[in-house]
Amino acid sequence: MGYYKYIFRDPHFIEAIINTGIFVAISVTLEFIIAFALALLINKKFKGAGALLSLALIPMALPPVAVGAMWSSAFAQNGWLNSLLYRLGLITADGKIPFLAGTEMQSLMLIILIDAWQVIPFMMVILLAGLQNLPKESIEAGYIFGADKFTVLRKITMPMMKPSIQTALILRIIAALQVWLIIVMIYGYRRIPVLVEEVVYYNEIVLGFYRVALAYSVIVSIIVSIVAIIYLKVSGAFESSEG
Amino acid sequence: MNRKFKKGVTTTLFYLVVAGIAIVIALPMYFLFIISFMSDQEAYDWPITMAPSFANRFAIQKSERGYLISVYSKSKDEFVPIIETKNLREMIDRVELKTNSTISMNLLEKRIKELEGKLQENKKKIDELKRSMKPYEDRISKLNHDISRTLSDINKLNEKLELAKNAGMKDIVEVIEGQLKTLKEKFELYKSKLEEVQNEVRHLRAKLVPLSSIEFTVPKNLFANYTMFFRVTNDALPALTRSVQVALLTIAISLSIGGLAGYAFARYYFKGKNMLKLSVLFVRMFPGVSIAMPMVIILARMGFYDKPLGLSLVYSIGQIGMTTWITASIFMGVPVELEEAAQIFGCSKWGAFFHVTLPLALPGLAASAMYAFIGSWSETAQAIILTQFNPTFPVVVYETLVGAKGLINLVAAGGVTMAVPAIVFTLIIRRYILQMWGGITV
Amino acid sequence: MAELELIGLSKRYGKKVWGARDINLKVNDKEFIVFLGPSGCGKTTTLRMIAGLEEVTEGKVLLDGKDITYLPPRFRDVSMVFQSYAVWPHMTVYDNIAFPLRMKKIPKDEIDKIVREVTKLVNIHEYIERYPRQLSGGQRQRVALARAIAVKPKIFLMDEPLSNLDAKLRVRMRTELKAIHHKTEATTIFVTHDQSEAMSMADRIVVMRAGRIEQIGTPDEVYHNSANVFVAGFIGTPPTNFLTVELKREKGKLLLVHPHFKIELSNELALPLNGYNKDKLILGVRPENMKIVKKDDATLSEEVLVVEPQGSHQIIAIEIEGKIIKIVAPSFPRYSSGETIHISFDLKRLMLFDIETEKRLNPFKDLGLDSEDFKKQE
Repeated sequence: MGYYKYIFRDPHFIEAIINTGIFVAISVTLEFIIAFALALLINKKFKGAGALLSLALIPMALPPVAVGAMWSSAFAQNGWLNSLLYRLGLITADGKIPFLAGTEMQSLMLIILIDAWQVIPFMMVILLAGLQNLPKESIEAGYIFGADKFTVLRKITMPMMKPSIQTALILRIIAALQVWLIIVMIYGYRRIPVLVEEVVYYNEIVLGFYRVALAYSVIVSIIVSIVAIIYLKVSGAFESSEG
Repeated sequence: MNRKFKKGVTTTLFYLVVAGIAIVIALPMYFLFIISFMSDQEAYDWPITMAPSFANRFAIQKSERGYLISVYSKSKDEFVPIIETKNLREMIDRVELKTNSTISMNLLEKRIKELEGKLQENKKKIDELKRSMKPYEDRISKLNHDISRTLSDINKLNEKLELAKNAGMKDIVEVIEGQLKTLKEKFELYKSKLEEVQNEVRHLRAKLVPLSSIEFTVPKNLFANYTMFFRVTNDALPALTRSVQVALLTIAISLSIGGLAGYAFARYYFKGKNMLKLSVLFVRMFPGVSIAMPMVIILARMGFYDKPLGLSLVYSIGQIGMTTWITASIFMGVPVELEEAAQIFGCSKWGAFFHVTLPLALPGLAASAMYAFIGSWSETAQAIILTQFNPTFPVVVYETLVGAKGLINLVAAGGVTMAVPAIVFTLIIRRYILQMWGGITV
Repeated sequence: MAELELIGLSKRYGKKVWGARDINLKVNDKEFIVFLGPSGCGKTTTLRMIAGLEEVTEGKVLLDGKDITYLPPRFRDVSMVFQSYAVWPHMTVYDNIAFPLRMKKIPKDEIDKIVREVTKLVNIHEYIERYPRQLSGGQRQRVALARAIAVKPKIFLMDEPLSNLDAKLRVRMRTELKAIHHKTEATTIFVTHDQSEAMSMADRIVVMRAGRIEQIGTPDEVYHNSANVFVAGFIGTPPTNFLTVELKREKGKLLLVHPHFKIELSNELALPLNGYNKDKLILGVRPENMKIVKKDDATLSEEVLVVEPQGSHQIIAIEIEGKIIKIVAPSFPRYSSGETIHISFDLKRLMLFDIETEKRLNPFKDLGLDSEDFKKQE
């Protein structure tokens, strides 16, 4: 029990909880909106949609370390992102953007963007499947019976693909709760503490704190389970999975 | 006509958006890829070039401490010095480290001989040029001195101005402002003069360089970072073998158990079948790192801690649900009638499975094997916790990335090595991945 | 009052594939039009162009004289019943029917009134609070119908609405649909590939093939006076029998000569062949226009191949030159395989087609429907 007391007194714990909460809320919302828009776009089945879909699958397949290498080379002071902006004439040689030097909040936003880059394709694939499994005629019926595009999307398309939206959101929320690797790869430990990062921190970095890490991992498991169950209850996934 | 025009505009806009999305997705991957082929010199240049070069241009000069070798930077459009030394061996090693080009001793000696000859030949001209440069260099140092003095004066006046303003002494403020103005004009004048003189010197030096240096081009070893990565991180090669081992073991375990379960799901009816999808969800839901913590103890007791088998056991837990799901849908795709037909025509139940169902399901099974491979190949978080002295490849890359910042091109090489098999397999099983989430067609 | 006119309506996919080509049609007020044709003939494409779901490549759609070719569906004043019903699964029956009315910004109490009215009309008023998944196929079909009726459209479009129902229910819904049409008097376009459905419901049938209209006419016209080989073969079960015959002139008389029989044409039949100068043509005979007769009156004598008893009648198949010819005969006397039968043709109802263009050569001036045989009994 002592380990739990230690954790609850640790200011990093509160910080980690707040950071994780902000990360989950913003990243899931942002990713959902963009992924949905992308799914609608690819579902138009234009020329080259297949190629775009294949391309979008690649970030999903990239190992986390590759993503880490990619973005830490991007955000370095003389990294490729600044180089690119400079070549495009968007910044001057003196105006290099210090990506990694921001406040904790700004850093968190940067991590959200990186995470979005990798995860949106995954969400999009689930949503796209949902979209494509919708009976086409149900949507067309919406247009026939007087609804415009936006109304059809809101009143017919989205309610009808509720199961896919649920799957996408819950998988994302659960994954987002466990973010840490990309943060550590870009910023190192303890710059932006999040819950799972603390587990690894106590296990790998501070020696002899194995029990604290274990206690942390129990806490994380409980939080993840609670969030998942609440989400499933609220969205009624239990009932629909029976049918 | 108007309609057609409108349609053309919307189509164009639409494709612009699509192209934008494609660029956002592809660009970071492109840069990771090219950086993995860059030498240190290129990777840390500003701004980074948009494509790696295939050869390096060097210039060699004589200096007080031996010879100065410099390499051409595309970004700066000038030669940047690498090392100044008498020891040719040291020079070669340093150049190789910095630019990924190996200059052979033979070539270097030959070029130096050429340089000596050239210097002899042009001795007069060189001396003359050097002499004519001398006064300019003196002027530059004097101007620099003036500039720094003016600057400090300005700063002092600024402080005074601040004080005067605060005290509200209007007339004094005016006087100081007047002085400041003249000082600033002076400063600008010095600066422009300095630039003028510097230009002159640059001009002269440009004349001097071809007279006193030898240029030559040496091809670059494109894959130097890759070999270097394995040489620098002495764990890398065994880690790579270990990663493959873990992946194969994971495939074997998850496919044999998950495949059987999948077949059962596809062919037989039993209660709780509908829970399958939910159970897959639950397995995915469980925090991977948290699950790894107690696993450390369990595996240690079983004697599998820090061994490929232990890691693959943990991975299989996560994979079995997925494999069951995929294989079930694959077996469902093979109509039970085909199996029944085989039984009617004299096959045993097992015979029917091996002769009819298995060959038909094979491509799908291969796909789910690849899926399991990708999962275990890329997994980093659990591997960090579950290994100690025998890390897998992603852990090595991770440690290089987190531990030794500043070797970005090496890390990029490691990242690309990780990414290539994952990407290739993903594209091969693209159809199945899309199918898994509900049959997407484009 | 709703008149629909299609002028040169065409749909092209890509560069070469035509979904529909040069469709010209005028639909009158209150009319029940059926588009009939095999799958892929362009009937659904045409319907969807009328609905605004498919972009028009060429041509115009006029509704009451107003050009609606490029109007989005929601401004067109049409309603539609889809093949899969397209009843929204996440809305109750009530909401399904009320949704289009809400889109039209009709006041709440009026929506309520309309919903009750139409659900009563299609007989689903008991299920008003249920979700579609709690309803049977037939009931969902009725919801779709009610939804389409409720908006009181100018044009009522139906895309194979009965094809997902089982055979028995289909026949019943046919009757009900027709009754509803009588009540609502809405101009209707109905798409089907089932010729018996088309025959039983349509005021006029539009027969289509490969994106083009083959014939427009009342059910009687397309059946008895088919414009070409395709229409004659597509409409009617069993289908029209076709035989290639030679055209010969002997002593001023026209003869149709086949290796197995010879028919002398009456003046009436010969007249339309005046300008025809090819030496072969296609003879079409409907199965009921062949009679089994005594040997002396026979045009043709053949062995019976198989007999298919149907209860009310029997279908006798014979084989001539490798072609199966079917004859509809009264149930009795029952014939059996191998038996030789003697057949004569109803000469007044022979259909002659051009050997190359397959177009009808002898369109009837009148269908002969007012002849003594067809008079109603007083």
